[in-house]
Amino acid sequence: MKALSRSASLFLSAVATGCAAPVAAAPVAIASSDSPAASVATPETTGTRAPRPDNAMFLGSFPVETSTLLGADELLLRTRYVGAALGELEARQLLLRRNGGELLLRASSSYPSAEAAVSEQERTCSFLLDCDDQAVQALVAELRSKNRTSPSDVVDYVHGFVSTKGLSRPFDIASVVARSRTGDCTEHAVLTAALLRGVGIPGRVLVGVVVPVVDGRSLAFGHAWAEYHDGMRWQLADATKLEVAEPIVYVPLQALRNEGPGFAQGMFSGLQLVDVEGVVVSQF
Amino acid sequence: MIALGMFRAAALGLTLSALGCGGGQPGAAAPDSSASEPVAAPKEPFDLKKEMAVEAEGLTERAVKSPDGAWSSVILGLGEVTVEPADSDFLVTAPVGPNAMVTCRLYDEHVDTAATFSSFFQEVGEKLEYKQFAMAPVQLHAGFPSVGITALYLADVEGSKGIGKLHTAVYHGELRSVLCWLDNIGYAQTFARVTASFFEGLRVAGTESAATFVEVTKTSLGDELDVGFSITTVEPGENAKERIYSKTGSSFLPRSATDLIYEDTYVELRVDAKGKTLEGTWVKTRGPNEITMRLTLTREKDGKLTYAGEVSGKPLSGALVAPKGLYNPLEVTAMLKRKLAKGGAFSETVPEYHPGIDPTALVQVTYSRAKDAPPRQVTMRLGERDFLAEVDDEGLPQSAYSQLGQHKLSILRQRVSGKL
Repeated sequence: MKALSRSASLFLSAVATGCAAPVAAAPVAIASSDSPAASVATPETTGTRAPRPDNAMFLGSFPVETSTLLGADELLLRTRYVGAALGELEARQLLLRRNGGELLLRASSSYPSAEAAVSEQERTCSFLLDCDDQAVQALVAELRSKNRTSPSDVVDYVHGFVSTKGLSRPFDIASVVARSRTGDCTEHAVLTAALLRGVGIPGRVLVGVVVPVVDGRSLAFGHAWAEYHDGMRWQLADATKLEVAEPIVYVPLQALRNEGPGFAQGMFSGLQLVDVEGVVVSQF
Repeated sequence: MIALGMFRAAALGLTLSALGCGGGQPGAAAPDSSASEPVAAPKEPFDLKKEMAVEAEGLTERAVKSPDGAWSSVILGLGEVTVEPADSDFLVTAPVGPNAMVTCRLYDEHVDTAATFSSFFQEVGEKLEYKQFAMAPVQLHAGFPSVGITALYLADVEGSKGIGKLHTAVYHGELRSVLCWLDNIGYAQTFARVTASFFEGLRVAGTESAATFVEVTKTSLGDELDVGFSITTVEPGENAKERIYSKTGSSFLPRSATDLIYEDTYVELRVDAKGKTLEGTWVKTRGPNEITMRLTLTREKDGKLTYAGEVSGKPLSGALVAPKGLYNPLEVTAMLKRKLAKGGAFSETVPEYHPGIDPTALVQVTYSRAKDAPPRQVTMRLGERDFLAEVDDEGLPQSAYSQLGQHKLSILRQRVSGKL
């Protein structure tokens, strides 16, 4: 537990930044001390345990207070939060009860679809999802020319296209991702949603929590992904393709509404409304 | 100035050609830090802990200066310390042990700190596999900040892997920047001592800073991890009634053991005698040379506030909706000073321009003090985020904290001189 909280303290939560390494699976930890003993953890001494998530794919990590294997399809997640706007949690009827600063959620390994209707924004190019930019349009043209315009085609394409998977980008717009081919979960999500719109499918970016099993332990991570609308409801389109054992439970917290030049304000104001401090997992 | 700094940092490749990046080999010979040849085959068992604990003994202080007397300093070292010109800069090299040398590049001006680190690790790292970055605390030398980053790396050595460590530090002095580095698995404390001696002793002749106010802050995560610093200055403008407010910030946000987000920001405001913004410039860069934002704000003759520039590579321009005007940091400070002098509770919401959050609109920020709060405690509310600040008699925050989920973000004043 000590190691967990120490690592956790070194990374910002999903609220503040993009993806970060998972708590329990990080092969090495960044130390703040300038003493050599504290600042060095060699690969030989720390090792890398398998299976572990691709550490480029997650937002911040959260402590999990109980280590219960995710054997069942449904889980109870208890999270602490600040603020009041619960966005997608309520829209998807994940919220069972709120009590002071705690939320009790019912989550399932099947993706929690939402019935919300498609807005005009979710079909249109924007500053963040700039499917009208030349670099993004070139990718759309490539998808069209290869007749790969289904949501799963787009997801597969983005997963392969983002060739440098790392955490050095905070939150790039789609055209920047199209040029840099670099990023973490947020860049995968942004490019996926932009390409979906580019090929005529309503798309948007979601931010929330995923709870996979890593090394036999339940872990909670912040994560970003895209959604597409299938004509009936919103469905998962996660181009990061998390390399973790299933089941993976997705808990959508917010759909990004502000896609303009001030989209960072949307992140700043919207996401932090559900400021996840911890997740408790138990069998349902 | 910012752009120049960035490209200066990007030109580090020439400087680094002499860097060995040799590293040691686990289970092999001791790491050979500065040699350009890979480490030789193992002769005796490699003791990593022992090699990491190696420090220099008997360091003595040497005076160094440029031939033209433009600058001088002192530096700890063993044996002969060399000073060589490098373009318009100087390279100062101090031996600290067998095959271990601290090299410092003294720039002839300021360079962007985060870009310099980013450029260094990018250019040196082409043949390295970084395994871990670690930050040293922000420290002040002669009143200005330095920060260090070390990188543990693996490199191919004779068909096997060698382990090495790059120690780096950047000093943002009053008039110039310095980048120092050492490639050795050991000598951590030695590197800190040697660079501190050089930074502390640096004197630049000729140019006097015109700043009438200087403030240095650092940003930390939790209680132990420094992730950035800022330097704010105020100096007279070309017009005697005007002043120039500028803030230079650099941050190195860890996202994983091997990923840091390197960002530099620069804000410059030209304000009139009343402190009102006449013109402003915001520049934000990421990594070695990527400009993510470059905006100017202008108060037109009719009083309208217009912005123009580029964000994420896209041109942006327009007018700000500002029925209640615009508060800059100088005006906020003056407002807080007035409110706190009166005592009691208060709550004031003011429009501010934070283009990093939204370049197209003003952000409403609420400053308040609760009736039963400590005398100098002010809460700043930006969106849904609260910062709890301790403010001095002049209305300047000495410290500010915000809770980000389970993490505490702190902005802590390191020193202040002069008056606003």
